[in-house]
Amino acid sequence: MSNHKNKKVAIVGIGSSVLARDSKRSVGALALDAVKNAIHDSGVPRDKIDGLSAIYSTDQPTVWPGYVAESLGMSNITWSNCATPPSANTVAEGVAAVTAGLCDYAVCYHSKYRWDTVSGSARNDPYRKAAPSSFDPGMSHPLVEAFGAPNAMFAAMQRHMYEFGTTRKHLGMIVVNNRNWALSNEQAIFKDKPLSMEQYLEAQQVVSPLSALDMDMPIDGAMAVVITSAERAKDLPNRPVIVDAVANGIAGKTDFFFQAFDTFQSYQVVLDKLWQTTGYTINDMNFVNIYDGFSSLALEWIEAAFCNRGEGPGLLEDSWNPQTNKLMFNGRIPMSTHGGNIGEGRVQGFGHVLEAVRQLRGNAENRQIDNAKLGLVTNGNNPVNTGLILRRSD
Amino acid sequence: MSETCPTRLDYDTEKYWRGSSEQQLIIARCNECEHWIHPPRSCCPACWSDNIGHQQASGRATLYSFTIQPGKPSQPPLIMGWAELEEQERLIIVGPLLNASPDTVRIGTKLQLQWFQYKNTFVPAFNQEPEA
Repeated sequence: MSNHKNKKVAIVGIGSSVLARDSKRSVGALALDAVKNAIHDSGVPRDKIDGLSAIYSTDQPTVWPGYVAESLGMSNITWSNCATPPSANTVAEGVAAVTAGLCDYAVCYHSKYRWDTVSGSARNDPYRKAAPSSFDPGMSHPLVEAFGAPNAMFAAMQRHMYEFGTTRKHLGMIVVNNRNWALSNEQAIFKDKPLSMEQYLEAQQVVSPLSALDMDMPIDGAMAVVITSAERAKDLPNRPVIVDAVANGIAGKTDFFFQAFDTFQSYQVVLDKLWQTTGYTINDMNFVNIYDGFSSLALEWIEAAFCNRGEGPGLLEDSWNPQTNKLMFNGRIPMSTHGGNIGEGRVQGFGHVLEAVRQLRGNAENRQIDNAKLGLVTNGNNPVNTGLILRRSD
Repeated sequence: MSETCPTRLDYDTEKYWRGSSEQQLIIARCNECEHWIHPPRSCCPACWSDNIGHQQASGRATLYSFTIQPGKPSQPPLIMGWAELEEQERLIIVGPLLNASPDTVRIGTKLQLQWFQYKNTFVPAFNQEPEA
């Protein structure tokens, strides 16, 4: 069943920077805040940290491991790496390194920023000029020059609506669920801003069929976790959270203009691998933290996790409770109790990991799920994505 | 030699963009198994052959999907189409739909290839065929 049965890795510390529209801090400072907080939380002495796992950034300068090691006076780093986004992938990479014995205690981190490339209101701020990025040299760039950046994610959602009769209301169930959970999260960027289905449906579409409410909220924010072997975790203060499985999935075409049409297929690769590795099914999960960079991506993750392509709209209708304005899948599985990227803010999926750890430690405060033992975390789109299955240690 | 969009080419994309500058839709195709490849690559994803040639496509297509990008205040929105060529399933070219409006754009409509002048060169564009 489980691979590396005797070599499990555990998350033993979590940390976050402030999450804010304008933190008055640099992107590097935010990363240091998160890394320090995670190490403090773990109880691991600084000198024992020997691994640093980062994410290279597609729209901004990368806060690479050298920056963190230098800034925090770490001189014992024997393994480091910059993985592809999204956030959970820094955890996946760290897990691989600890499992392989390349390091004993790794900090996995990611720092996001409200650059002028993701936020119109940032364009006059001299502290928010993103470095030029070079992403995919394929076919997209020439057309970007001539026509702006027509994002295939919108076109993919149009196609979903055409094929399966999906409506804005289905996406609204995802968005309103996340915004309502965010009301219980002190750290959430939308902590004090409720959103009703009526308000969602009235929102102007930026590029049809999606409105600004369907997209994650650009913020300044970084998060980190400390991981080590499950054996070593027993000697540390926090209840360890075991990483039972990690997976990536790549499918079909990956050029920026085409990748979104194969998103579901790539998600299915992730989920198949997670179930195959662990022997679990979706019904073993106590909660799911589903990536919501766009609400349409969440819809496709939900389909890959719970049903088949095209069955998401029906599942959402069956799971939607208009009294609570929340989703409860199969009658008992809540989604993204921290509010997701849409409600908590855009740390590219890292909030989904931290919230899973809180739930499994049993300290998610006013949003704690009873007896939470297992959680699914998903992050990303095609071809950059990660799934994790996390388990409470007994 | 004619100007291309983009000015930066590589060994895989050059024939496509040079064809485009001359208003010809030149698509990479495997010489061994005849699989069409777009975006162009140096290796056939179907049979792994490195023997990649290029052929002119018919330009007949069906609208697979689209986006409506808000235009400047005085201008109509720009409608970008994902045009599935008749040569092969999911063989898709991205370009503006010149004669479509937010009210008339429709997935599944037949498309005809057009050429859109950009600076001193051309990129592919499409018109929706009137419904029979």
